[in-house]
Amino acid sequence: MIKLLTRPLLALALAVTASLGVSARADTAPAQAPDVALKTTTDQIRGMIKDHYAEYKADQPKFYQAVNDVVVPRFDVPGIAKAVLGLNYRNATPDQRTRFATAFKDMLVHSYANAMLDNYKSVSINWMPPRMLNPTEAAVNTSLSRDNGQSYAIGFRVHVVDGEWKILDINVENVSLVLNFRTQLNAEIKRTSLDDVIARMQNGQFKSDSNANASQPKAN
Amino acid sequence: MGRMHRYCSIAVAVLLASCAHHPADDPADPLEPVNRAMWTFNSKADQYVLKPAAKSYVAVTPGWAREGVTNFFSNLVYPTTIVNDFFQAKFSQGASDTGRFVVNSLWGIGGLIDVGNRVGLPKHDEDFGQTLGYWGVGEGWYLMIPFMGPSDNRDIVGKGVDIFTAPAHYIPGRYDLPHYLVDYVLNSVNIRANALPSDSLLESQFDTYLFIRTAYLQHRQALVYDGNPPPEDLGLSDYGDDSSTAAPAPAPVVPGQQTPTKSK
Repeated sequence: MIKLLTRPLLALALAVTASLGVSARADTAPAQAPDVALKTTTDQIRGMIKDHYAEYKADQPKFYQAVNDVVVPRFDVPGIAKAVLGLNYRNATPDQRTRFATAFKDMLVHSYANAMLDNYKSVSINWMPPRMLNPTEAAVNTSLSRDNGQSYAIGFRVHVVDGEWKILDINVENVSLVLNFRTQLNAEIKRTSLDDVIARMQNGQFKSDSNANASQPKAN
Repeated sequence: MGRMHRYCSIAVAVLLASCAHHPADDPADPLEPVNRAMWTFNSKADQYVLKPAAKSYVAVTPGWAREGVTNFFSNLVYPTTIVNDFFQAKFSQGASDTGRFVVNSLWGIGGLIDVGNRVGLPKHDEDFGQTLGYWGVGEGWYLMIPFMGPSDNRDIVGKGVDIFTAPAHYIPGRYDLPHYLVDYVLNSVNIRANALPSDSLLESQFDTYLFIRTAYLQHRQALVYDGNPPPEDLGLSDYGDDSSTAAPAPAPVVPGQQTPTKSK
């Protein structure tokens, strides 16, 4: 049973590793297959890590910045925020939605950037042909192999935003990042409040002090 | 006797209650308070016993030995996969898996080396819980079992049946307590060791119980569909403000135009 869980876990780190590698190069033509931009950005961030490995290792904020510049634009951050918030999205103010989206994005970058840095050399990616779910949505599946022979199924759910394919969700061994955070965050929002959860994401303090006491009354 | 019988009936009724598939982010978890207590217990057992044991094991064994152990246990229970291939009418996969089991047992020295993978007989993952799911049985309630971890009504029934498809069950005298314990301990420690690199990810979750629950249910659902589950509804179009969604599509993908490509 541990295996069932941990394979996805490890893979998640590796995945976001490979996956956060997506580029929003201005010269990329918008009319292309769903996986083209993904491949380009993956290659680009890996190239950058290869060239600046020591630099990034020594200066974390600099690496976060590089990830923000190169990788993040490939993600549909508002769309992800909306999917993660689920029903709570409706009740959130526009300001809360924006703050949540930014905090969530930063949290992912901070969580996974280091895994990306540490594993870029030992991983190779096998791209499968994309599968269209509907004209503006597609699944791009890949198999990530580590040099120790282990491989992981990593899938991207992409859709069209302003004529470009953007990532909406990442599946690692078919475990969806969005659904996972939706479950956890909505439970936390129910126990405390959206603003509280945003603040905790910004501080990197995921566990609330009241985690042991699930009957904590709602703050608002 | 009669009382025993009645308890069993109640147990079966509870296990098979609510046989529907629930979305992973809103599962049936009526036992959540009990499950959470079990999860706390399992975490403590891991923290004080299993994890330290796994760390020592990694420290004293070389990687190739651990890989051998992993392969050995995987091969030992592989007949479960074969039987369930056939239960799910996957006949060619069943044939391939039979070949894999024979090849690995003979040329792989009792399963220590995964020869099958190198000669085009890839590993599959089937069990009776998946067979039930394949024929339409939902997962029912989510369960957290002490010393075992996450499960659900469907999979706990499946686990019970799986005991009878593992060949070790039929070797006379093999399943006495000492043998069983050695098996159980080595297998558990080895699995835990393989999982050590993921610990940091678990620590950075808001609520590890919910994380494990969502991950487990999605993972099992995907296995039932052999890795291609129907896409989950992310609910993007459910409520107003659609600034982030759906613009005109870029060039369509011509089917078959793209083949898998390798990028380093």
